[in-house]
Amino acid sequence: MSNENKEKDKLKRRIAGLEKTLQIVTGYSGRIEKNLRQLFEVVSDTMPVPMMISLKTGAILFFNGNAQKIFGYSEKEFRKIAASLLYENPDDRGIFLKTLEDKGEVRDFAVNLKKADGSVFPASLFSRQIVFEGQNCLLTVIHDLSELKQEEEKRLMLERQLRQTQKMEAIGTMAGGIAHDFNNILTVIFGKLELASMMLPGESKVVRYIADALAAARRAKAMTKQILAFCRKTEYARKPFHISTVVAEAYKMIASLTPSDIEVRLGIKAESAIILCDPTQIHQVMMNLCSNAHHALRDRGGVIEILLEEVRAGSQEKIMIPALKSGDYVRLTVRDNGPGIEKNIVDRVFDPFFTTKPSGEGTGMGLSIVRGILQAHGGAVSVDSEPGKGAAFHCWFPLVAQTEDLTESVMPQDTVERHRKNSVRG
Amino acid sequence: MNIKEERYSIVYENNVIKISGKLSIMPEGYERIESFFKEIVGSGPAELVLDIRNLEYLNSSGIKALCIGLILEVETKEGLWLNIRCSKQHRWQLETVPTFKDLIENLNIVFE
Ligand SMILES: Nc1ncnc2c1ncn2[C@@H]1O[C@H](COP(=O)(O)OP(=O)(O)O)[C@@H](O)[C@H]1O
Ligand SMILES: [Mg+2]
Repeated sequence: MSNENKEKDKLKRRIAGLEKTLQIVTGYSGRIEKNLRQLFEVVSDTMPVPMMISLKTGAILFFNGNAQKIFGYSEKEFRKIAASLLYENPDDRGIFLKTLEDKGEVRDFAVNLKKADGSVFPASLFSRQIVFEGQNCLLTVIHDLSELKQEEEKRLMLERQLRQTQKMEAIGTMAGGIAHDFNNILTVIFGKLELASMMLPGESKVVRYIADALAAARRAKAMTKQILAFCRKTEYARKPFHISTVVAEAYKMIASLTPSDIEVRLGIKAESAIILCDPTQIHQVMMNLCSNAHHALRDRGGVIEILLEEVRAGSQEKIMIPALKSGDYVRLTVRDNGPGIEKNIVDRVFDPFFTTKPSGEGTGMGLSIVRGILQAHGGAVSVDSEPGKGAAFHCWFPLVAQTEDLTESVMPQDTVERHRKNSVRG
Repeated sequence: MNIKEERYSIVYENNVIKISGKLSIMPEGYERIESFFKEIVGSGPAELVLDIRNLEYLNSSGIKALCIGLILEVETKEGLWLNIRCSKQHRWQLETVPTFKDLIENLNIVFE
């Protein structure tokens, strides 16, 4: 072989060697790439947090199963949507990108994100710049804060409730003591007034004055009774009743006491619903609520609606009324179209002694008694008010059963009769 | 000249090139390693052993350095054989080292 040929041969072999090396190396890199891709997919799909990779322009290149789950988009939709549309306020993404640019990474970026169904949830974003499939991208991990927030809200609410309970207890003890003494004083006042009027001739003007004084004293007695009832710790004997019958009874009495410029309407949609209750207390609830409605409609007239319906308390209601357990309820609503309740006091109307009425007209006990009664019945009371349009108070009583024929047997007429006389205005 | 770094080492002793640790440096880093290999082959050993049983990982640039810097160089020395001692423990060796057979005839691969 000539030298030249030898050289040629050597070069040929060299080229062949390099070609094979290239094959070996690309084969090797291919395997590594595949392993890395697999690693990435396994990591992103096993980590319990939503994660996605997007371009600055907003195109979403990758998202894991959790991201899909939390936002509720199908795979196809996710690939089409712009990342800014995942924000409640799309401008927030601009701020997010700016932070990323300034700091090189984003940690704990608090923002509200939006799901496919339009609902919004609080989140915290963590993001870094990476190269993905040959492009400059951001890898973003999403921390869903809604549970945290809910926990926090629940804790605050429980705290508030606890404080409320403690306050009520202290006030209850105090008021109970006062009411008791006051009642004794009233007994003396009654006795002496009655004696005095007996000793006067019937046509005397003084008799009328004394009668007025007696009427006032009776009101005072009714009030102390309310307070005592409220403070008494002993459980009332509660029996199963058709609440509709009790409500209808109370309605009759309320209607007869209502001035003619106020219309009282009754709507019963829960005829056969049975609850465990003390009818006296149902009367009291209605009297207290209607007396407030009377007051709200004073000088302007209007309509009071008394509604009784069966409702199911689900998660929605539980959020609005934390004291409510999920389940079936009979809801007694007293609604008026008066001035309603100002936003800034609506949280306080159930507080004992909270009143906006001039002294002499309001005790501030009416609603707190209603609340106490509902609590004792395992229910809850809530208020719905739009200032200027009226107020509605909802009393939720746990439903026990529904039957047509229990009425007579469980509702001795005298119970209602007896309590009707005792009912007082709140 | 031996190469000892924090994560890897390359030692040449009694016709044995022993590479240990994890080798995943950037391509430029392999220049001195390749010239080290060439130097070894150029020194005219009668026989050569590449012991990678303790080489846990080698990146793709490392594969290229082995192929071009060592194996193809061995081919230029007539009659020189290269023995590679591998470990079955390392999957990458199982998958890749046998493909070196495509490069030269004078190659022995032993898995332990
Ligand atoms: N139907 C209503 N419309 C407007 N405000 C109401 C209504 N019911 C209650 N309130 C408000 O709630 C406060 C507390 O009511 P309540 O506990 O019955 O005490 P009181 O009637 O003695 O003031 C009232 O003073 C009033 O401001
Ligand atoms: Mg009142």
